[in-house]
Amino acid sequence: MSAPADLPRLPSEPELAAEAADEERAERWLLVRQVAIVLALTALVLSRVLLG
Amino acid sequence: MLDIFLAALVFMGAVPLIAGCFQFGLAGLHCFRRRSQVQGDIYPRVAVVIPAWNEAAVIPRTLDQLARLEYPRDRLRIYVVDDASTDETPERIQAKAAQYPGLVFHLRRERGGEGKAQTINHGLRRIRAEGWYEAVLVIDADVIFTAGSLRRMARHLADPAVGAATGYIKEGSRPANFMNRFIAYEYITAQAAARRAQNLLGVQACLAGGAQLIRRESLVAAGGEIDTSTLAEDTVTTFRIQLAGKRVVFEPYATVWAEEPRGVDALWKQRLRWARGNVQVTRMFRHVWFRPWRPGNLGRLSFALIWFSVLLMPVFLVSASAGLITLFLTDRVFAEHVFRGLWASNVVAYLFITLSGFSIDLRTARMCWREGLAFPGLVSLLVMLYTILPGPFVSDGSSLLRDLGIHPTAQLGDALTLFAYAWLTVSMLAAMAIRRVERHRWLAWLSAPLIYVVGYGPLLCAVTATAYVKELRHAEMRWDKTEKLGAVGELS
Repeated sequence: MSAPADLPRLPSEPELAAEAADEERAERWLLVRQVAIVLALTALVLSRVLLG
Repeated sequence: MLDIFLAALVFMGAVPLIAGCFQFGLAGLHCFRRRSQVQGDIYPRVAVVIPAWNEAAVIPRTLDQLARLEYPRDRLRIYVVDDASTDETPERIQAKAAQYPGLVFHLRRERGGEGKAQTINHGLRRIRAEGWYEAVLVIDADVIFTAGSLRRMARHLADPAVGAATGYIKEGSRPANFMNRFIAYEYITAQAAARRAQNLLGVQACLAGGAQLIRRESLVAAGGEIDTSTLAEDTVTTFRIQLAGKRVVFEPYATVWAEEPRGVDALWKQRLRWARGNVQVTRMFRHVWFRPWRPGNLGRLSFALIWFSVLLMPVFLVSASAGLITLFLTDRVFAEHVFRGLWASNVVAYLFITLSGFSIDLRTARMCWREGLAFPGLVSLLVMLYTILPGPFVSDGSSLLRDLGIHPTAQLGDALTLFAYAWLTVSMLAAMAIRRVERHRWLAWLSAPLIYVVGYGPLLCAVTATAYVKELRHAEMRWDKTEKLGAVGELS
């Protein structure tokens, strides 16, 4: 087996908590970007329909 | 009345994109998924099963990467099932077994060639006999697990309602050619977006074949072995686990890199296997569809929309073309309105799906944004442009034709109109032709630019249409292995 120093280190509790927070933040930002895209497309369609 | 019927046929062509919008819309809501899905880290005893046939180029790195997983060494065992390889695969595995004693095990099948599922089952029989495992991770020989990927998948098993978890397979070939970039974008849509949506719906269509973490009890409930009667053994496992009452979840932050085909023909063979498998699965589980009371949400209408929008895509496209051409012959003005209505909805759906796809995986999007934009093909993009700006498109197009010495006549206009109406179907035939072009000694170089013109989407539709034909003819089920060269770059 590889030397113990080569063994992967398991993340600590604070690291896991930070990782989970990062993932949640990324998912929330995904929602924000999706909403922005929907709003932009809605504006585009409405302007096209209303302005001909 | 006939006009309404024909218009309905035409608008069936929008069903796949509507289903796409449905999934991308849900993907954005993934932050509201059931919190019980992430329960903190647990480390079940995991037996990794890797089917390998002539994988000498890739297996050492795969094993090295698995040895670096952020996972307790005493809770991980890796079984490489060597399916009577004829290259240096056995020696490479044995070298790694010596380097990582107690972690890597070499299982040799002396009689091979029975397919991937049989090879996996050989490994499963061994680990079941040992009885040590709490979960099994089935992966491909070429996939590169990032350090935290297994840990992230395994944490879902802390929830007893979860029977299996899968990760986000990403295209990792470096340098990436045009096909790799198309696949990279496709995986944003088919995995990062679609599987997030399926998490929200509480049902997954498929555990990614390269990363299937299955709880022991669920494997037993699914029959204890992998299905060998279809070409989609991973999908059958996924369905059986859910029908047995356990959830299957997608972990978007468990990144797994894979080497995917670099050419049209190689992609065709791989996807034909998948598409035929999906046709077989549809038939195998015919008692499940549209029956919402069945366990695992597989019978819900929302899941049927996702499943059949892909499976029946060629039918929808042919239906749209047939409807438009018939309308052209009966009522040209109405045909034009319906055509523009269809493509206007396509424009909105295309923009929403493409922009959302980019926003879901910004890193991958930076690499493959051109392929994302060109996914439907340049011809379809021109049709979209005509739909949005018919006036400038016609006047500029007429000027261009005159510059080329072609006088735009009514007959030419009719021919172009009919071409545009038929394009959804013609694009599939054109995609089939590109495969032949790639096989041609002198014309092979044309296949890449032609894919941008015709579209990667139509190529996938053409594969699905071919799958119908193969299944109707009961063609032989062949495991055309995708050749792997170890092209996955240094990725994190």
